[in-house]
Amino acid sequence: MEYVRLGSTGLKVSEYCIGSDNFGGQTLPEDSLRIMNEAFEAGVNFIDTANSYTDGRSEENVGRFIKTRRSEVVLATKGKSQVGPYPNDVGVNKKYVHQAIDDSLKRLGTDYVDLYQIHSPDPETPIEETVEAYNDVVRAGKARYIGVSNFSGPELVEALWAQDKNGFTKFSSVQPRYNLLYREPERELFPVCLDQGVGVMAYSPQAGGFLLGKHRQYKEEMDSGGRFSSDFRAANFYKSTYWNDFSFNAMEQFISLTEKYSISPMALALKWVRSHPAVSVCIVGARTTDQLKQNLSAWDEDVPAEAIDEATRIGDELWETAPWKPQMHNTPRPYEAVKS
Amino acid sequence: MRSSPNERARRTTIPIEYVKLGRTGTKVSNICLGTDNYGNQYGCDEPTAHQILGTALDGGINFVDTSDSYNEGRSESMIGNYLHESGRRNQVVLATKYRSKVGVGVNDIGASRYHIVRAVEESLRRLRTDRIDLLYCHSWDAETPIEETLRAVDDLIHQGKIVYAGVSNFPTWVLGKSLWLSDVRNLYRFEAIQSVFNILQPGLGREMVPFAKKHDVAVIPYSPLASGMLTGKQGRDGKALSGSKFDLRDDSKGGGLKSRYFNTPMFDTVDKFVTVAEKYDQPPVRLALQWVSEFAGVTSPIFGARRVDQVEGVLTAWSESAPPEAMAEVRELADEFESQAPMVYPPKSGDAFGTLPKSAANR
Repeated sequence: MEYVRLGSTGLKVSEYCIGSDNFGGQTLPEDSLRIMNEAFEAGVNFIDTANSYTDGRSEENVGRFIKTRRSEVVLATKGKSQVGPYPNDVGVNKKYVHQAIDDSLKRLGTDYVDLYQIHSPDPETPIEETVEAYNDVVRAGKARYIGVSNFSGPELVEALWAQDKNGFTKFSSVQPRYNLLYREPERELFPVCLDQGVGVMAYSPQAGGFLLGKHRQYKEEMDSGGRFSSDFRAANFYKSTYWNDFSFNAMEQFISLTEKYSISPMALALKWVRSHPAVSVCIVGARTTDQLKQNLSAWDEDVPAEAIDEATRIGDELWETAPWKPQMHNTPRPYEAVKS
Repeated sequence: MRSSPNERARRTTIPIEYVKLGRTGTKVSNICLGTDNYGNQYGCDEPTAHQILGTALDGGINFVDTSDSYNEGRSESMIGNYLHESGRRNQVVLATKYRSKVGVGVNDIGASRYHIVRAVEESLRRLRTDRIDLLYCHSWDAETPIEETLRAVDDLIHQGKIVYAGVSNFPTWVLGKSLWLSDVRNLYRFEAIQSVFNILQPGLGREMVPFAKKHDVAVIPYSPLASGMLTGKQGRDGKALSGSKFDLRDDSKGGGLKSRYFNTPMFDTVDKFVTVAEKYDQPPVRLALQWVSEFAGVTSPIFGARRVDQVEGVLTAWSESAPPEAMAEVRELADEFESQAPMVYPPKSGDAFGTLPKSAANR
C-alpha cells in the first residue's frame, strides 16, 4: 500500500480509501467492522463516510471501529444532504454546517475529523457563507482539513476565490465520481485541481459494479444487494448514468479487453482511474468481506500500460458519442436553468 | 422551492437595440458584425468589405469584431481604412483579438506580455486608430500565467490603448480563475467571453453561459448560424455547397467545419429547423439568431457576411421577432438535440490558432 499526500497538504493517506456508504445498510454492522479491520491490516489508513449514509448508521459503524485506534485513522466525513425533516436539515448554510459537524462527531464518537467535506454544491447558499462556516469548523478544532465533493471545476474555483479573498482555510480535496464510463471531471475539474494543488479522491471507480460486468446484456435488475437495486438509496442516480446502450456497449468492450490481457476487470478499472495525474486517492466500496478481498488483490494486480491505453480509447469513443451528464445530473441541469 | 439564478429573461430586443456590454456602461447593438472573411478566398475584397460595413452601420449595427489573425491582418486593415475614410470610427465599438499565430517568430503568438504589447501596436496601426474598444485573448495560452496576461492588459487599459478586455474560447475555470485574480489583485477584469454557440453546438449554454451570467460577463456567441449549416443549404451527401466555407476551408487544419457539422443527428436537426422556418414563413437567420439571444447573459451574437445582400438579409431578418409559436418549436427541437449531444466545450482548437512552441522548460 502506497501513501500519498492529499493534494498539496502534508497529510499522508493511503491511495486506497474505504468507502462506507453501505455500512449499516446493505452491509451488516459486523461485516462493516470486519471490512475495516481487514483493510487496515492491508495498510489502508483512510475512511470516507457522510452524515447521510444509511441515515447516520455508516458514521456509527465507523465510530465503533476507530474507537481504539483514532490516531492512526485518517477520517473523512461530509455534510449537506437532507438528514432530518426540517427545512434547515440540509445544505451548507451556517446554521446547518455547525449542527451537522457536531452531529457527525457525536455519531463518530470523536472530537475531530481529519477531513470535513461539502457533500455537493448548495445553490441556495452563497459560497462566501459556506467557506466562512467551514473556516470556523477548522478554527474550532473540529476538522483538520476541509474539502468538497461533486463540485464542478468552475464551482471549485469560485470557492477557492472566496477563501483566498477572505484569508480562510482553503479546500484541500475534491471528491468526484470518476471512472472509465464517467469522465466529466477531466474536462474542467481536474485542470483546476492540478493548477491549484487540490487532491482528488475519485469515487465510484468501477461505476458501482457496472464496469465489472455485473449487469451484462440488460440482465434482470437485482431486487437487492447492488448499486442499481431498489434497496440502494442512490439507485436512480446510477441508473440515469449507466443504464443506456452507450454504457452497455463500452462495458462489453471493456470486459473483452480484460479477457484479452487476462486481468480482472476490477484491476483495470482501478488502475485506469489511478493513472490520471490529478488523482490522489481511489474510494473503493465493499459490500461484503469477499468483495474487499477481491478489491485488495485487484489493487496489487499488474496491469500492462497497453491495456490502460486501450481502455482510454474505449472511454474516448463513449465520451465523443454519448449525451453529456453533468456532475449532479439529478438536479436541474445548468442548460435547463438558463432557459424559461 | 429551488430558485434558479439564471432564469431566462425572455428578450424582445428586435429590431436592433443597444444593450449593455455585460456589466459595463458601454452599449452595443444586439447583433455584431463578424469580419473573418475579409480578404480571403471564400470571403470578399476590400471594396465589398467597405460596402458591407457601410450597410451594417447604416442599419444600426455599432459593434464590429475582427482579429489580428484574420487573413494576415487584411480584415483589420480593411476595417481601419473604412473607418478612417468614412470618418465613422467613433460610431463603432471596435473589437479585435491577439494570441493566434501572426508571424514566424517564437513570440509571434501567445498571451505573454511581450506578444500582447506588440500585437496591440500592430492592430492599432492596421485599424488606423489609437484605441481598441474591446480586446480579446483569442484562446487560452496554457503556457503563460493568466496573471501575466491580466497585468499586461491592465497596463494597456491604463495607457488608454484599450478600453475593455475579454477572452474567447476559454475553459470556464480559466475565466473563473482570471476573475478571481482581478478581484484580489485589483486589476481590470475580463468583461466579455466570445465562443461558439448555436443550436448544433449547445455546449456553451450548459456551463459557461450560466457562469458568465452569474458574474455579469457579457456572452458574445459566434457562429450562431453554425457557419451556415442552419440555412439548410449544405448537402446531406457529405458534399459541401460550392464556394462556401465548408467547401473551401481546409478541414485538416483543425476547427474544420465538415468534421464538426456533417453528421446524421445534425443534418436531422437542420431538416427539422428548416421545416419550422418554412411552416411559419420565417428566415432561418432570424430563428437562429433569436434562439441564442434568448439565453440570459447573451449580449450580442456575431454574424458574418461576405456579400452586401447577406448583411441586408440579416438586417431584414432582425427587423422583427419570430412568432412565439415558431420559437417554441425551435426551442423544442434544439432541446431535443442538446439532450442527446456529447460535450464539446471547451473547444478543441486544433492548430486553428497556431501551435504554441513547446518551451525548453517543459521538454
